[in-house]
Amino acid sequence: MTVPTPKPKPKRSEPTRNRTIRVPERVLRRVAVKLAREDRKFNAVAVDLLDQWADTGGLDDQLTPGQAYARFARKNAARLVPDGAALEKRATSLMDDAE
Amino acid sequence: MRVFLDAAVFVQTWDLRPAEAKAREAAFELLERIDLELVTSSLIVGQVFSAIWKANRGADPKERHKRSAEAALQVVPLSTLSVGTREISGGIALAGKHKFQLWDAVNWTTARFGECEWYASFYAPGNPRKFNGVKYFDVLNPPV
Repeated sequence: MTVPTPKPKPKRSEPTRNRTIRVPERVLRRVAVKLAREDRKFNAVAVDLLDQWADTGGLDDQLTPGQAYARFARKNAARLVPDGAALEKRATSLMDDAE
Repeated sequence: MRVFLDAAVFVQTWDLRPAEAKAREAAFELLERIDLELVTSSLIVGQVFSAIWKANRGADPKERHKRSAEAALQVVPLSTLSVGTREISGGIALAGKHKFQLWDAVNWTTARFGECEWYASFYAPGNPRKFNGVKYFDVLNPPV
């Protein structure tokens, strides 16, 4: 009966702390470009929003920030949240995933 | 009188379900009050973003992002209180002591450090009725 020779164990890799992780520059550049694009998108939303505020009088000094928010929410609720969407009762509990 | 607004107040304004109509209207009434100093924190801006993001499940990702950002950005003018080390560490200690949600605890601590007299929200089992001088403001039955 032949006894199979045990396979040599693979060498353990060096502990992470001793290894230098190098991120190629092209990868970094790609990430930077992506972030810049995202930022632009976000800024575009902010500009749109300021226009809307101006239209609805939200930038009017006579309105408190709460009133400006309420006005925006009343006007946009149907658009921002599709009908029948199951909104959670409390937004704080929505953060469970993050905990 | 300074009132801290919980994320639920903002989120309720987007809840279009008929069963929530009363709560929705109550949230609007509070937001439109001029006799109270309404404030909130930067954490609430994130929570509103998260809530609208979840409510728009299934929407096109770009549109979903736009909707969530719009709703959250509107909260920014009210978010005059910042959440820092003091608020977060206070919240962690409070959550451990009273067994309520960490994020709720951070918000209550923020209200406390932000010198708010009231903490406005809708009833939730985890909400204390009073904490370190900050009192619970039930949006459905306003105490003041």
